[in-house]
Amino acid sequence: MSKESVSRREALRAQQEAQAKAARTRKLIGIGVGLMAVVLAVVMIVVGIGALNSGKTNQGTWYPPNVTETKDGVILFAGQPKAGAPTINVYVDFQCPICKVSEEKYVGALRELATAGDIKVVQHTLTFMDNNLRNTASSRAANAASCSDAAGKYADMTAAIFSRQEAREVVGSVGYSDSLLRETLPAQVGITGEALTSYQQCYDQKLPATFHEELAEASYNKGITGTPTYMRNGVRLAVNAVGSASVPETTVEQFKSLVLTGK
Amino acid sequence: MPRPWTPWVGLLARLLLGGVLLAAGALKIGNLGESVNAVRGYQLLPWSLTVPVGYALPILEIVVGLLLVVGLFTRWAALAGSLLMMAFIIGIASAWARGIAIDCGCFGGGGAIALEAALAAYPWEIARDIGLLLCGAWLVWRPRTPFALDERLSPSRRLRASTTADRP
Repeated sequence: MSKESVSRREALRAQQEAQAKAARTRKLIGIGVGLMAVVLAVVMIVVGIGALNSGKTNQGTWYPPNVTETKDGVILFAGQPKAGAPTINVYVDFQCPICKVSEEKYVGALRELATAGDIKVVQHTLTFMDNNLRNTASSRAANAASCSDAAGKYADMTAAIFSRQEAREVVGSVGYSDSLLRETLPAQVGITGEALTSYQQCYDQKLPATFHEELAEASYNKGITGTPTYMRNGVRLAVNAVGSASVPETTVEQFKSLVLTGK
Repeated sequence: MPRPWTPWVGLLARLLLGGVLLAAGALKIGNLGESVNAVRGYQLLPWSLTVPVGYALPILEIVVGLLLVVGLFTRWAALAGSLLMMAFIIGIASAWARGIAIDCGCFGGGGAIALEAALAAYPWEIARDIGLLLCGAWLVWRPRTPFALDERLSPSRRLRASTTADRP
């Protein structure tokens, strides 16, 4: 074999290898570009969702009449708190089962102490369980409660809603029905006539929705991670409406003491 | 010169990290709202970031998990997986340190739970994520593994020599 044919063969092989390498590179670039396109699309969707959520203007937010000065809760029992009376912040979600137990157990004590002016009670209606249960019942129930405040029935409506809590953390369940929140419960707590018309308008137009979003953000910034949570002048109270083997149940008397003195 | 078993360690690391990420993402992708709640449970990010992060995490986990399972762009996918694990370790450790009682939300769920249950789970969750981080670190160091699509893109002679029986 001549030297020339050997070098030609080598040149051919080198050319083939170069072609194969180029093909591989093209394939790699193709996959890389495709992947980057997918990632970019995902990022754009995510950013778009974020922009939609944060882009809402909060001008002209509707607030219930008894909203707190900080606009992040509603005063549960209108009354004249004495000087130095502690503020009790109650964080609830209308779909949270322990919130129902808690409300039914301690609301009497809260009402009594608030009416006497010994404490000021502020309720914050969170709606995070809508996310978990994939429904809108927490939001709709919170709307119903906030709308009822215009008729002066916030506390009654809160109790009425909790008394009808049925879907116990069932994912995908409807929870509170519209007809219950729109018609049955207002009738039950005595919202009638013109008050009922404006209540239903408020409910249908979801007027408190922005207020509830602001409230949720404010609660997050205060470190509220779950419901029910009771705070006394900004300090979390160890309240256990449902006891367990290691954590004893908080009696109503203990609850009163916690609320009044923090101990 | 790698020992003959190093590619197989890599394969195991790839399937472990990739499989766990894929499962974690798949379990969360169907309920992104819950994923957002889980992120909020950590109380680390500003409120406005919790939604994009809650939405992006499961998607990212699935993408990185898939890449690792099929062995495509192994080094980069492993780097992303390792960074995810570091973020999870920091998140869980910081919740533990601050006395926040949450379900880690690693495979769905999330949010506040009883303190004793949380304190019992944190060490195991961190240990698991450290193990997965080590898998990722190994793959960043030695990304060449058997049965990987990377091999189709650019076959490495070294790997072939060390995994196929070429005994004299």
